[in-house]
Amino acid sequence: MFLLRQFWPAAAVALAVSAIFCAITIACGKGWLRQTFAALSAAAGYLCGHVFVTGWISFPPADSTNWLPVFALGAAAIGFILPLVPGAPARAICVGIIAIAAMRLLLQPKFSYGWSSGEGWKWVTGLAVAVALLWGTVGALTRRNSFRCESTLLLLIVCAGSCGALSLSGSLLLGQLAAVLAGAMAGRLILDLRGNARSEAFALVFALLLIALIVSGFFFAELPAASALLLVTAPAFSLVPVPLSTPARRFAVRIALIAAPVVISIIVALRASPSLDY
Amino acid sequence: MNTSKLTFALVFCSLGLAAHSADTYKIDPVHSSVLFSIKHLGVTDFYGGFNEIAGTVSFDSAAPSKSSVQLTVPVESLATRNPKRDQHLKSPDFFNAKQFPTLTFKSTKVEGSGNTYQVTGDFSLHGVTKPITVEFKRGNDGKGMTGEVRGGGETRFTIKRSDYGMTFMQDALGDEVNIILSLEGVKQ
Repeated sequence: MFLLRQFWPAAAVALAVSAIFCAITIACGKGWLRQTFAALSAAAGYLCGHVFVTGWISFPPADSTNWLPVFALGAAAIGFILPLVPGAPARAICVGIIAIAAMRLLLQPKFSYGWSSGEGWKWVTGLAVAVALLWGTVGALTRRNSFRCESTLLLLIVCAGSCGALSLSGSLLLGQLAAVLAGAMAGRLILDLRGNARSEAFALVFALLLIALIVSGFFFAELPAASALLLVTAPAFSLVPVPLSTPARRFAVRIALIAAPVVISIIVALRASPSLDY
Repeated sequence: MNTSKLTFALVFCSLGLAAHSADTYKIDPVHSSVLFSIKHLGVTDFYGGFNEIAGTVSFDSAAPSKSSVQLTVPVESLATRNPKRDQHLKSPDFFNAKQFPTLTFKSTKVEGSGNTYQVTGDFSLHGVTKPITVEFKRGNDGKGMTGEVRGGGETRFTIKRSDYGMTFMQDALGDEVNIILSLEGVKQ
């Protein structure tokens, strides 16, 4: 009950803001205004939820985790213009560039206290590649929906699992922020139900924020590496071809495929948990 | 002869003035204490502390304004007699030890006389640096076991953790943190 009281208000704020932006998107009809609000929905929801948790953020933030709202807005902006970039490789490079910048900012404390420049840039580059791969995976998920809400519901499972694993990593704050991400994404169900699920911006916002949260948990809390890897790769499991006849059965199997690594990551985090029961 | 006496007197006076410079004390972490207390659930204060501190105090009794203080406390040395609580306090929820490994204080102004001084300086906590002024009560110098001269004193002050970006669980833990800093240093 205590955890629920800690998490639900911020998640509700993110959900409400994201849903409002999605409703405005639907009301906008067609054109660039619709695309703008669609791009901003998850980012705005996350921003409001994050500020609800941490209070107003100074700029530049002292705590690197407080860069996440900036990442969300930046990803929404880049994602909005991505469709204008010709060719998948060029779009992937754009994603990689913003991911490199984001990871460099997030991991500044590691550069200050411990990493050599070479070691640090290896981590930043590797994590940027992970962001690009997750962005591509989420994009593929949304294009391959058996029914309208499928991809959002599957990704909500990953968010919920991240919330659990990060809370078990010794940081309720990071768990709360994962709940905020879940709320921001859940708001998009409104767009899904109206058949407007596809959005480059949404995929980039989700990928960047999820990996930023997992990275924060790994480097600044006690999230085990195995948990981190399982959470970021879980969406890819649901891309496995499922040769079943009905959408409902395919969806059920995909839930199982994405839930399995998420559940294992929580178990791993639980076994390594420093425990907040004192 | 008068010129020689005058010259000698001038030299003697200048030597005397030069001889009186600030005394530097290296902080002894074993005999210094860094304690804090914070209200828990509005019930009562719970006390914790840090087991390590390092730094120097440069003290000029004739000209206190020329004195200075520089202190560093490693966040990893936090100790509240409960390992689980220690780990939680060092997590991103509170001190965020892996991002901000030290607390520091560097003085910018020292005023006062006798045994009471107002020390103003930059206090850095959780990546945020703010100026604070504390009242420091100096104790007497004493002799250590190996004949070394020791000096020190104590200050007590209060900060708001939210001023330093530590806003988590404001409903369970108070915003005001009372700090007791008792320093003992070895004269160099």
